[in-house]
Amino acid sequence: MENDLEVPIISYDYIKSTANAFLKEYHPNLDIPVPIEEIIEFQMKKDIIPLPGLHQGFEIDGFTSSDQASIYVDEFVYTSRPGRYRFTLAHEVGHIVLHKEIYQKANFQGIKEWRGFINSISEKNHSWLEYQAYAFGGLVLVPHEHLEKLTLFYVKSIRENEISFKENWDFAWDLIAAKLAKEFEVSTQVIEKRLDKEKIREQYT
Amino acid sequence: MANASRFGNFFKECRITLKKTLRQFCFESELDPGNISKLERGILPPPQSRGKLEEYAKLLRIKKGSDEWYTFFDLAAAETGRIPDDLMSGRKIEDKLPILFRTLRGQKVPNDKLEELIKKLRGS
Repeated sequence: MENDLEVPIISYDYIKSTANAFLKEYHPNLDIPVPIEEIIEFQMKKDIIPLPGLHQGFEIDGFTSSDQASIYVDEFVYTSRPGRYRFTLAHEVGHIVLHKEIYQKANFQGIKEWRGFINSISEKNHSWLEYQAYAFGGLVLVPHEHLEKLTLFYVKSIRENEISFKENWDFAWDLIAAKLAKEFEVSTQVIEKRLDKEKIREQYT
Repeated sequence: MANASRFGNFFKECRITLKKTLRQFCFESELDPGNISKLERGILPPPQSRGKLEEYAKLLRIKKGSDEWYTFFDLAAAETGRIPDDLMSGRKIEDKLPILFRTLRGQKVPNDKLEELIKKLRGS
Protein backbone atom coordinates (compact mmCIF):
# COMPACT_ATOMS: atom_id res chain seq x y z
CA MET A 1 0.00 0.00 0.00
CA GLU A 2 1.35 3.40 -0.95
CA ASN A 3 1.77 5.29 2.28
CA ASP A 4 1.71 9.05 2.47
CA LEU A 5 1.57 9.09 6.24
CA GLU A 6 2.59 12.41 7.63
CA VAL A 7 3.16 12.31 11.34
CA PRO A 8 2.44 15.62 12.98
CA ILE A 9 5.28 16.77 15.21
CA ILE A 10 3.27 18.65 17.79
CA SER A 11 4.46 20.53 20.83
CA TYR A 12 3.74 19.68 24.43
CA ASP A 13 1.80 22.94 24.71
CA TYR A 14 -0.41 21.90 21.81
CA ILE A 15 -1.06 18.51 23.43
CA LYS A 16 -1.85 20.32 26.68
CA SER A 17 -4.37 22.65 25.05
CA THR A 18 -5.96 19.69 23.23
CA ALA A 19 -6.22 17.78 26.51
CA ASN A 20 -7.78 20.82 28.19
CA ALA A 21 -10.27 21.19 25.35
CA PHE A 22 -11.12 17.49 25.70
CA LEU A 23 -11.76 17.92 29.44
CA LYS A 24 -13.82 21.05 28.81
CA GLU A 25 -16.03 19.13 26.41
CA TYR A 26 -16.38 15.84 28.26
CA HIS A 27 -15.70 16.63 31.92
CA PRO A 28 -16.18 20.35 32.51
CA ASN A 29 -16.47 20.13 36.30
CA LEU A 30 -12.94 18.65 36.41
CA ASP A 31 -13.69 16.50 39.46
CA ILE A 32 -11.04 13.91 40.15
CA PRO A 33 -10.48 11.08 39.56
CA VAL A 34 -11.39 11.89 35.95
CA PRO A 35 -14.02 9.28 34.95
CA ILE A 36 -12.28 8.28 31.73
CA GLU A 37 -14.10 4.96 31.42
CA GLU A 38 -17.52 6.64 31.65
CA ILE A 39 -16.47 9.35 29.20
CA ILE A 40 -15.48 6.72 26.63
CA GLU A 41 -18.55 4.50 27.03
CA PHE A 42 -21.31 7.03 27.71
CA GLN A 43 -20.18 10.14 25.87
CA MET A 44 -17.81 9.02 23.14
CA LYS A 45 -19.99 5.92 22.70
CA LYS A 46 -17.12 3.53 22.16
CA ASP A 47 -16.93 -0.06 23.31
CA ILE A 48 -14.27 -1.07 25.79
CA ILE A 49 -13.55 -4.73 25.14
CA PRO A 50 -11.53 -6.97 27.47
CA LEU A 51 -9.21 -9.28 25.54
CA PRO A 52 -7.51 -12.19 27.35
CA GLY A 53 -3.80 -12.72 26.79
CA LEU A 54 -3.07 -9.40 25.12
CA HIS A 55 -0.34 -8.54 27.61
CA GLN A 56 1.03 -12.04 27.98
CA GLY A 57 1.08 -12.85 24.28
CA PHE A 58 1.98 -9.49 22.75
CA GLU A 59 3.19 -7.27 25.62
CA ILE A 60 0.44 -4.81 24.80
CA ASP A 61 -1.93 -3.29 27.38
CA GLY A 62 -4.45 -1.99 24.87
CA PHE A 63 -5.17 -0.60 21.42
CA THR A 64 -7.86 1.17 19.41
CA SER A 65 -9.49 -0.60 16.47
CA SER A 66 -8.84 1.01 13.10
CA ASP A 67 -12.54 1.97 12.81
CA GLN A 68 -12.15 3.76 16.19
CA ALA A 69 -15.33 2.11 17.49
CA SER A 70 -13.61 0.00 20.13
CA ILE A 71 -10.76 0.11 22.58
CA TYR A 72 -9.41 -3.34 23.38
CA VAL A 73 -7.73 -3.79 26.77
CA ASP A 74 -5.84 -6.75 28.17
CA GLU A 75 -8.33 -8.62 30.35
CA PHE A 76 -6.03 -8.82 33.37
CA VAL A 77 -5.36 -5.07 33.25
CA TYR A 78 -9.13 -4.52 32.77
CA THR A 79 -10.09 -6.51 35.85
CA SER A 80 -7.11 -6.21 38.19
CA ARG A 81 -4.99 -3.14 37.50
CA PRO A 82 -7.24 -0.07 37.85
CA GLY A 83 -4.47 2.52 37.54
CA ARG A 84 -2.95 0.97 34.47
CA TYR A 85 -6.41 0.40 33.01
CA ARG A 86 -7.30 4.07 33.36
CA PHE A 87 -4.02 5.15 31.83
CA THR A 88 -4.39 2.72 28.93
CA LEU A 89 -7.81 4.20 28.20
CA ALA A 90 -6.56 7.80 28.40
CA HIS A 91 -3.59 6.93 26.17
CA GLU A 92 -5.88 5.41 23.55
CA VAL A 93 -8.16 8.44 23.70
CA GLY A 94 -5.00 10.41 22.98
CA HIS A 95 -4.55 8.48 19.74
CA ILE A 96 -8.22 8.99 18.84
CA VAL A 97 -8.13 12.74 19.47
CA LEU A 98 -4.64 13.62 18.24
CA HIS A 99 -4.29 11.17 15.37
CA LYS A 100 -7.71 11.36 13.72
CA GLU A 101 -6.21 11.89 10.28
CA ILE A 102 -4.12 8.73 10.51
CA TYR A 103 -7.18 6.68 11.43
CA GLN A 104 -9.12 8.24 8.55
CA LYS A 105 -6.47 6.96 6.13
CA ALA A 106 -6.74 3.49 7.59
CA ASN A 107 -9.49 2.22 5.30
CA PHE A 108 -8.06 -1.18 4.49
CA GLN A 109 -9.26 -3.57 1.83
CA GLY A 110 -7.77 -6.68 3.34
CA ILE A 111 -5.16 -7.92 5.77
CA LYS A 112 -2.36 -7.36 3.26
CA GLU A 113 -3.15 -3.65 3.09
CA TRP A 114 -3.29 -3.44 6.85
CA ARG A 115 0.12 -5.14 7.18
CA GLY A 116 1.54 -2.80 4.59
CA PHE A 117 0.22 0.22 6.43
CA ILE A 118 1.48 -0.69 9.87
CA ASN A 119 4.87 -1.81 8.55
CA SER A 120 5.28 1.47 6.70
CA ILE A 121 5.18 3.55 9.87
CA SER A 122 8.80 4.10 10.80
CA GLU A 123 10.09 3.48 14.32
CA LYS A 124 10.80 7.17 14.71
CA ASN A 125 7.30 8.20 13.62
CA HIS A 126 5.70 5.61 15.83
CA SER A 127 7.73 6.80 18.80
CA TRP A 128 6.42 10.31 18.20
CA LEU A 129 2.84 9.12 18.06
CA GLU A 130 3.23 7.08 21.24
CA TYR A 131 4.89 9.96 23.08
CA GLN A 132 2.03 12.28 22.08
CA ALA A 133 -0.65 9.82 23.26
CA TYR A 134 1.29 9.21 26.50
CA ALA A 135 1.54 12.94 27.22
CA PHE A 136 -2.17 13.41 26.43
CA GLY A 137 -3.10 10.56 28.80
CA GLY A 138 -1.24 12.15 31.70
CA LEU A 139 -2.66 15.61 31.00
CA VAL A 140 -6.23 14.33 30.90
CA LEU A 141 -6.04 12.17 34.03
CA VAL A 142 -4.08 14.74 36.01
CA PRO A 143 -5.56 18.19 35.32
CA HIS A 144 -2.96 20.90 35.97
CA GLU A 145 -5.08 22.99 38.32
CA HIS A 146 -5.66 20.06 40.69
CA LEU A 147 -2.04 18.97 40.47
CA GLU A 148 -0.76 22.36 41.61
CA LYS A 149 -3.31 22.72 44.42
CA LEU A 150 -2.89 19.20 45.76
CA THR A 151 0.89 19.34 45.55
CA LEU A 152 0.85 22.51 47.63
CA PHE A 153 -1.48 20.81 50.13
CA TYR A 154 0.84 17.80 50.55
CA VAL A 155 3.98 19.94 50.67
CA LYS A 156 2.41 21.82 53.59
CA SER A 157 1.44 18.56 55.27
CA ILE A 158 5.02 17.24 54.93
CA ARG A 159 6.39 20.44 56.43
CA GLU A 160 3.88 20.24 59.29
CA ASN A 161 5.27 16.78 60.02
CA GLU A 162 8.66 18.43 60.33
CA ILE A 163 10.18 16.55 57.43
CA SER A 164 12.87 18.71 55.89
CA PHE A 165 12.77 18.95 52.12
CA LYS A 166 16.40 19.98 52.14
CA GLU A 167 17.56 16.87 54.00
CA ASN A 168 14.97 14.37 52.72
CA TRP A 169 14.16 15.62 49.24
CA ASP A 170 13.66 12.22 47.55
CA PHE A 171 11.77 10.72 50.49
CA ALA A 172 9.43 13.72 50.71
CA TRP A 173 8.65 13.68 47.00
CA ASP A 174 8.12 9.90 47.03
CA LEU A 175 5.52 10.44 49.74
CA ILE A 176 3.86 13.28 47.84
CA ALA A 177 3.83 11.33 44.56
CA ALA A 178 2.20 8.36 46.31
CA LYS A 179 -0.50 10.60 47.82
CA LEU A 180 -1.16 12.32 44.49
CA ALA A 181 -1.26 9.01 42.62
CA LYS A 182 -4.01 7.86 44.96
CA GLU A 183 -6.01 11.07 44.47
CA PHE A 184 -5.85 10.91 40.67
CA GLU A 185 -5.98 7.09 40.46
CA VAL A 186 -2.87 6.86 38.32
CA SER A 187 0.62 5.45 38.87
CA THR A 188 3.34 7.40 40.70
CA GLN A 189 5.27 7.35 37.42
CA VAL A 190 2.56 9.43 35.73
CA ILE A 191 2.61 11.90 38.62
CA GLU A 192 6.41 12.18 38.63
CA LYS A 193 6.51 12.86 34.91
CA ARG A 194 3.93 15.61 35.29
CA LEU A 195 5.67 17.19 38.29
CA ASP A 196 8.88 17.37 36.29
CA LYS A 197 7.34 18.46 33.00
CA GLU A 198 5.33 21.24 34.65
CA LYS A 199 8.34 22.22 36.78
CA ILE A 200 6.24 22.01 39.94
CA ARG A 201 8.91 20.41 42.11
CA GLU A 202 11.32 23.23 41.33
CA GLN A 203 8.99 25.70 43.03
CA TYR A 204 9.75 24.08 46.38
CA THR A 205 13.54 24.03 46.31
CA MET B 1 -22.39 -3.39 12.45
CA ALA B 2 -24.35 -4.83 9.57
CA ASN B 3 -26.82 -7.10 11.36
CA ALA B 4 -26.47 -5.77 14.84
CA SER B 5 -28.32 -7.74 17.46
CA ARG B 6 -31.34 -5.74 18.54
CA PHE B 7 -31.30 -7.68 21.80
CA GLY B 8 -27.64 -6.79 22.35
CA ASN B 9 -28.30 -3.12 21.64
CA PHE B 10 -31.29 -3.10 23.97
CA PHE B 11 -29.26 -4.80 26.71
CA LYS B 12 -26.55 -2.18 26.32
CA GLU B 13 -29.08 0.70 26.36
CA CYS B 14 -30.57 -0.63 29.61
CA ARG B 15 -27.08 -0.91 31.16
CA ILE B 16 -26.18 2.62 30.10
CA THR B 17 -29.49 3.91 31.50
CA LEU B 18 -28.26 2.59 34.84
CA LYS B 19 -25.10 4.68 34.33
CA LYS B 20 -22.98 1.56 34.64
CA THR B 21 -19.95 0.92 32.50
CA LEU B 22 -19.62 -2.65 31.24
CA ARG B 23 -16.87 -3.31 33.78
CA GLN B 24 -18.85 -1.87 36.72
CA PHE B 25 -22.02 -3.70 35.72
CA CYS B 26 -20.25 -7.05 35.37
CA PHE B 27 -18.25 -6.60 38.56
CA GLU B 28 -21.35 -5.78 40.61
CA SER B 29 -23.41 -8.54 38.97
CA GLU B 30 -20.62 -11.12 39.04
CA LEU B 31 -20.87 -11.60 35.28
CA ASP B 32 -18.06 -12.17 32.82
CA PRO B 33 -17.39 -8.87 31.00
CA GLY B 34 -15.96 -10.66 27.95
CA ASN B 35 -19.20 -12.61 27.46
CA ILE B 36 -21.49 -9.66 28.17
CA SER B 37 -19.49 -7.55 25.72
CA LYS B 38 -20.00 -10.25 23.07
CA LEU B 39 -23.71 -10.42 23.91
CA GLU B 40 -24.08 -6.64 23.53
CA ARG B 41 -22.22 -6.65 20.22
CA GLY B 42 -24.27 -9.53 18.86
CA ILE B 43 -21.39 -11.98 18.74
CA LEU B 44 -23.17 -14.20 21.26
CA PRO B 45 -26.92 -14.85 20.91
CA PRO B 46 -29.24 -14.15 23.86
CA PRO B 47 -29.51 -17.04 26.32
CA GLN B 48 -32.35 -19.43 25.56
CA SER B 49 -33.15 -20.18 29.18
CA ARG B 50 -36.00 -18.12 30.58
CA GLY B 51 -34.34 -18.19 33.99
CA LYS B 52 -31.12 -16.70 32.68
CA LEU B 53 -33.02 -13.99 30.81
CA GLU B 54 -34.97 -13.13 33.95
CA GLU B 55 -31.72 -12.93 35.88
CA TYR B 56 -30.32 -10.48 33.31
CA ALA B 57 -33.55 -8.46 33.30
CA LYS B 58 -33.41 -8.21 37.08
CA LEU B 59 -29.76 -7.11 37.02
CA LEU B 60 -30.70 -4.46 34.47
CA ARG B 61 -33.49 -3.34 36.85
CA ILE B 62 -36.17 -3.96 34.25
CA LYS B 63 -39.50 -3.92 36.03
CA LYS B 64 -41.50 -7.12 35.59
CA GLY B 65 -44.55 -6.49 33.40
CA SER B 66 -43.27 -3.17 32.07
CA ASP B 67 -42.95 -2.40 28.35
CA GLU B 68 -39.18 -2.84 28.68
CA TRP B 69 -39.71 -6.26 30.23
CA TYR B 70 -41.77 -7.47 27.26
CA THR B 71 -39.40 -5.86 24.76
CA PHE B 72 -36.46 -7.61 26.44
CA PHE B 73 -38.10 -11.05 26.15
CA ASP B 74 -39.56 -10.41 22.69
CA LEU B 75 -36.17 -9.41 21.30
CA ALA B 76 -34.56 -12.45 22.89
CA ALA B 77 -37.24 -14.73 21.41
CA ALA B 78 -36.89 -13.13 17.99
CA GLU B 79 -33.22 -13.98 17.98
CA THR B 80 -33.62 -17.59 19.03
CA GLY B 81 -31.79 -19.68 16.52
CA ARG B 82 -30.12 -16.64 14.97
CA ILE B 83 -26.64 -17.34 13.77
CA PRO B 84 -24.59 -14.76 15.59
CA ASP B 85 -22.94 -12.20 13.37
CA ASP B 86 -19.38 -13.07 12.83
CA LEU B 87 -18.06 -9.59 13.25
CA MET B 88 -14.66 -10.78 12.26
CA SER B 89 -15.61 -12.49 9.05
CA GLY B 90 -14.76 -11.26 5.59
CA ARG B 91 -13.32 -7.78 5.45
CA LYS B 92 -14.76 -6.70 8.78
CA ILE B 93 -11.66 -7.91 10.58
CA GLU B 94 -9.69 -5.00 9.11
CA ASP B 95 -11.93 -2.56 10.97
CA LYS B 96 -11.00 -4.16 14.26
CA LEU B 97 -7.25 -4.33 13.78
CA PRO B 98 -4.99 -1.84 15.51
CA ILE B 99 -2.85 0.62 13.60
CA LEU B 100 -0.95 2.36 16.39
CA PHE B 101 0.33 -0.20 18.83
CA ARG B 102 3.63 -0.95 20.43
CA THR B 103 4.84 -3.39 23.05
CA LEU B 104 5.35 -1.94 26.50
CA ARG B 105 9.07 -1.64 25.70
CA GLY B 106 8.17 0.53 22.74
CA GLN B 107 8.98 -2.07 20.08
CA LYS B 108 7.01 -3.17 17.07
CA VAL B 109 4.99 -6.35 17.41
CA PRO B 110 6.96 -8.91 15.37
CA ASN B 111 5.43 -9.99 12.05
CA ASP B 112 4.98 -13.60 13.12
CA LYS B 113 2.90 -12.39 16.07
CA LEU B 114 0.53 -10.38 13.87
CA GLU B 115 -1.19 -13.51 12.57
CA GLU B 116 -1.75 -14.61 16.16
CA LEU B 117 -3.26 -11.22 16.97
CA ILE B 118 -5.65 -11.47 14.01
CA LYS B 119 -6.77 -14.92 15.22
CA LYS B 120 -7.33 -13.58 18.71
CA LEU B 121 -9.45 -10.72 17.37
CA ARG B 122 -11.52 -13.01 15.18
CA GLY B 123 -12.71 -14.75 18.31
CA SER B 124 -13.24 -11.67 20.43
